[in-house]
Amino acid sequence: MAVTSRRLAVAAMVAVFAGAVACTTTTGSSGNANDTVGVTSNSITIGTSMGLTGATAAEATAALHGAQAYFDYVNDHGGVNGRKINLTALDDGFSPAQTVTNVRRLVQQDNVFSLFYLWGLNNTIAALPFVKQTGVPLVGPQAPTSAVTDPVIPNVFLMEPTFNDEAAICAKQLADSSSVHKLGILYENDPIGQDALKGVQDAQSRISKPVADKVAFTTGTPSFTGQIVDLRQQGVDGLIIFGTNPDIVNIAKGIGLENWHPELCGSSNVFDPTFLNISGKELEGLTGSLGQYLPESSEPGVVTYRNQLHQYFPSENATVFGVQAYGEAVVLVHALQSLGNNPTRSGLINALNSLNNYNSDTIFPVSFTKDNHDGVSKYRMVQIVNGQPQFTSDFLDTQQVFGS
Amino acid sequence: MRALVGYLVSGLANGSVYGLLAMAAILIFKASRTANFAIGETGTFSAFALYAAVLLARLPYWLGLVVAMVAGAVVALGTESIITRNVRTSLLVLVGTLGISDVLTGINTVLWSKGEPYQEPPFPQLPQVSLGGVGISGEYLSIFAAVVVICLVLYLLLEHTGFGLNVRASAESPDLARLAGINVRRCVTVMWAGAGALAAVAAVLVAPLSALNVSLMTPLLFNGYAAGILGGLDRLPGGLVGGLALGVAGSLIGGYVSNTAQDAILFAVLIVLLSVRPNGLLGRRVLQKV
Repeated sequence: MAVTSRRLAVAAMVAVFAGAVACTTTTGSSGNANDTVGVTSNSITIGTSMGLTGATAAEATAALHGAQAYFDYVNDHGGVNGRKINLTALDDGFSPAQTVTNVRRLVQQDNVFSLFYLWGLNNTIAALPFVKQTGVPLVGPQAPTSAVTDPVIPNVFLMEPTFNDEAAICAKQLADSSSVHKLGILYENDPIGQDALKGVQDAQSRISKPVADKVAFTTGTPSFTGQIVDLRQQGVDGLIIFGTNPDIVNIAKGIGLENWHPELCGSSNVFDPTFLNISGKELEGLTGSLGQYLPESSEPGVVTYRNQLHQYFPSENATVFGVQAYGEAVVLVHALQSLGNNPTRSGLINALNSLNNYNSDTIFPVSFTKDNHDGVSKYRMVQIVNGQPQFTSDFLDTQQVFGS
Repeated sequence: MRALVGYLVSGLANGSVYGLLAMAAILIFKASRTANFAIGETGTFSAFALYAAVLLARLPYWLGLVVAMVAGAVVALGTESIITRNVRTSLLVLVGTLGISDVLTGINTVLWSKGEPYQEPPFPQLPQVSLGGVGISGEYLSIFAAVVVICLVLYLLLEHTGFGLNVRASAESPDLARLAGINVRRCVTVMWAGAGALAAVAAVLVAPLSALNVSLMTPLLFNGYAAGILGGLDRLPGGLVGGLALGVAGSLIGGYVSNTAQDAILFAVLIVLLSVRPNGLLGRRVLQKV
């Protein structure tokens, strides 16, 4: 009996393996034949995987509702050249392994035309090999890391500044301050933090002040006293902080406890008003950069976002993530519209590659070329004043700022 | 020198939290010779219960703390009754508690994710002090004091009372304990409930340090169990010793060896240590008749 079971198990494994090889071969060799997958005479199906449950469910849901509000609005007004946008959103519980499963399902079973806004940096990185292999367009992953854009992946388009850029901008901002003499970075020991560290290291040769200390931390650590004392002892008076919002608050409290007053610059995730409502006081004065307007902005695109969000999802609040996803939906629809009556995946990729300073009034102007898929290079400096974020600069450009 | 003091303070604060979770792990191990990997999410659930009791129902903090501890105890008992009474092998119990952990994450998410993070009501704090020029917050001191007091009380309860003797006998040999007239089921129930209440205390102490969110205790669970194993799963003070040792060692490795490879180095050392002392720092060597 046991032998029979083992044989059956081996046979099943062989069958699964053979099936997997067959699927891979089919997908890999039929890129052009699948150029119109997901398109019917009256619809275009796109797909996403997001952590709609799990640690970041609130943010992910706000983002989904932001994008869906725009797609609903477009559908209610005739769709894209007569075709409605169907967004298939699968929940991955913020688990990278489940993201990979979902993305495979979206492409191989649900036959989506394009992937849109995958949620999470590690989740997106996990799915990238499959996305690259299939050539299905991935528009606007929520994975602001240079790993997504450098080297360029022909079918993947990022629409927000990378942590690498944000950290380099922080280094520049602090180095330009007359009250800062030495910089330091305190970063989460994961791909987000590593990308930020790389940004600071890249910027080091182009700024006038030294980076005296680089300290990593593990997320969720209850106490940061050691790291803070260490940074202070190194003479750091301009501190760059990259991590999750709860960690950043805990660090800010530790800095206050030390009665230390370095200039602070942090990752853009802290500028979410929902978060600042409870922690703005601890983060007063912290600066950073954003590649999008704030959710309370009176910018026409953001006002439209809030109105459409209210219309389609009355109980949802306007958030930074909602603005981002909404703006990316606007860009995707614009690119799809430019394809006319015969949308193809390769056409979508070409249309995105020719976007030049496309302004959605929600995220900052988007430009792509074949050689650059880091679409948002413009940013504005932000500072937390009276517990809320405020823009403190006009548009700046990473290339202009660093002269490269 | 200041940096050293800073890293020691961090290590003791982190280690106190690990120690609380380790003691919860030890209570469960002493009662059922198994692990409950839902204990972290049980703590998070309880921290939200405190939030609801104090900030929504406007109860006094201490009453809210009782609500949180009862919530933790009830969830732990639910876990025990669903899993251990229906599943026979230790491996399946472990997997079952992982499943319960996922269920609790789902419940926390449905109930609380919209509008998170939240500001947990702060627990009463000891006055801030300075050691070697390094400020030690009242929050850290309260956590440290709580873990020492809880460890002492539980140690006395388990090692120096009739109930403790019953619990140890039940865990050692349930059948013999029953023959001796001990209510094994009641011992197990009390220990699981106690572990849930301990997880609740750990969570309500940690949450005010940053922000209350549905993944509050997730990063701490692994270190909590590692601390329990390091200290010795069969002795309650082992949780405290293991927690503090893990916290301080991790902090010093991060400060003076490598902060990017801190966890890797720490757990490599832990594995080597356990190969020399398989029952942990304070664990008793178990002799078996063959």
